[in-house]
Amino acid sequence: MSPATTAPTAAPVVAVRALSRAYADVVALDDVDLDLHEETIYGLLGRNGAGKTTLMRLLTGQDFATTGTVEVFGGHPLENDRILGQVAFISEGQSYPPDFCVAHVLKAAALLYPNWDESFADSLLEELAVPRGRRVKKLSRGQRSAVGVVVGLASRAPLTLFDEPYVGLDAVARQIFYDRLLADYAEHPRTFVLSTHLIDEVGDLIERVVLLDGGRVLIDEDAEALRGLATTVTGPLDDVDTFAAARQCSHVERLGNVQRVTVHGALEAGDRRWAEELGLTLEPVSLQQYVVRATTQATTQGSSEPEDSDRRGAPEPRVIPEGTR
Amino acid sequence: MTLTHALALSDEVRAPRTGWSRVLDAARVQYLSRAVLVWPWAVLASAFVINLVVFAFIDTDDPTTGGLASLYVVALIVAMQTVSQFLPFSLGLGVTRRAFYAAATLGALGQALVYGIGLTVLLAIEDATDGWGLTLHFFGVDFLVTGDPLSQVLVYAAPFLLVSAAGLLWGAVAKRWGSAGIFLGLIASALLVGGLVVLLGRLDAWSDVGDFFGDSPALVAIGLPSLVAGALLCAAGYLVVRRTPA
Repeated sequence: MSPATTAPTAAPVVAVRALSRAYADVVALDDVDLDLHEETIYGLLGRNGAGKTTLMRLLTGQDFATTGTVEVFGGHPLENDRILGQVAFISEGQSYPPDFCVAHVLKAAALLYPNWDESFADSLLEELAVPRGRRVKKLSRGQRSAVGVVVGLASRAPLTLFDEPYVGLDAVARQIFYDRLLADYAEHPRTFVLSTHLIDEVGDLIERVVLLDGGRVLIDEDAEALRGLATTVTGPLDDVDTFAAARQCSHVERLGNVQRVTVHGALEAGDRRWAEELGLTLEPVSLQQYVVRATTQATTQGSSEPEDSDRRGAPEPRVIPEGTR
Repeated sequence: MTLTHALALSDEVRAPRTGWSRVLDAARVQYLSRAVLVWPWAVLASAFVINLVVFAFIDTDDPTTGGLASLYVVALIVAMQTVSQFLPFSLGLGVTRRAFYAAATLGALGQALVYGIGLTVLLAIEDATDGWGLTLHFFGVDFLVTGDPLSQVLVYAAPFLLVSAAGLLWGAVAKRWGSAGIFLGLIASALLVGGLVVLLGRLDAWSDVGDFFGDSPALVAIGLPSLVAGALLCAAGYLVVRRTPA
């Protein structure tokens, strides 16, 4: 293990090059290039069918690439004991032998993951209230997810991937998952990849966002940078127009004389002062909103119908009768 | 990232086991639930008890029964289920297809040895008790009996390996190609067997085949062909598994 202090220059944990996966009726991944670096929590985001699960399955040697290459820890993961033994992939669709109770699953994980922490697993099991002796197929959807969470965290695999780990988990259990993940990450830093739809819920957890759309990487960016990348500007129609004139904008909403516009790109201190002078209200766009907007924008552009997506003025201003405001 | 983290990491992160150690771990996973070890014997025991009761009330000379076949049928099903249940589970826990399949094969070899020895012991008891007091030939099916314990173990074990390999292949085809794969596989096998039958007829070789199985000792007539066919099916199963998505 190379010294962690050199993380930015260290070889990536995952290096994906020109990776495609085509099925009979759909291209799930389309020419993806992507590096994942060590000791980072990644949020793998995207709509259903964007290619998140396919990417994870290719990273873990579960599925076969159509073209392109995958390297994990400097080697090809497919059929590689050394690499796959360092990778935990907790899939929403993981199947369990029908005879197995929860204790069997934990025993199997203990046999197969060299860094398995038994006492950590026990405490997680207790916190998530999973009955140890019950057969996995008799568990509720949420309890099954909880088993995956326990296996994924207690395996302490240097690369741990969670594919929608929260399905069926209640809010309390999800919070326990996030808290324990973060606490354990601080003590045993490693690389996590979380695919999720609950973006704002993990917004504070993830350090870097990889957004897939239609099998391609749309965004690969630090979460912190993304949070400042888009701002909602609200104020008098003309002033907002002036402020937003030279910027890329989306989501224009007008209510009579008031306009709200999402401007893209980071705002400098000067921009903020200017907005203040104009009397405009600035609000950062949440990660979830940002992702939703970036994805819809890509979708509408992709379908060659650019209207109402990018430049201001495209949508018809809604006319609100006087006095109702 | 702090220096303490780097130090903690180098101390704590253990490398995974590889090669045969990994295969052994994967094999232990397949036997964590003991049910797979118990079912074949439970089915055999019930077949045996039923035969005892039936022949206690029927008056025949030297009754022979095919109850022993139940053990091999269960072994076939268990091997199929090993693939359908443990291949996706093991792959999900970072086991390679190769390690999984080697583990399944190792498990079949180990079990075959246990069955061979177990059945040989039971045969000895059957002989010593004059067929459980009923002159019943339950374990001593005449074309399987060899006369000495070592070859007897092999003759019991070899068909077990054959049905286990067939089960692994069957399970692998089902996992990779679904029910269409199974049906096409059955059609292909039927054509193969049919072709062989026709070929032997054209060559006028049926009497030779009959002589071979009739005259050869069980080790040559049963043991050897089972081992060869089992090895071929086992290899075919691996070729299917190595490109099967989880």
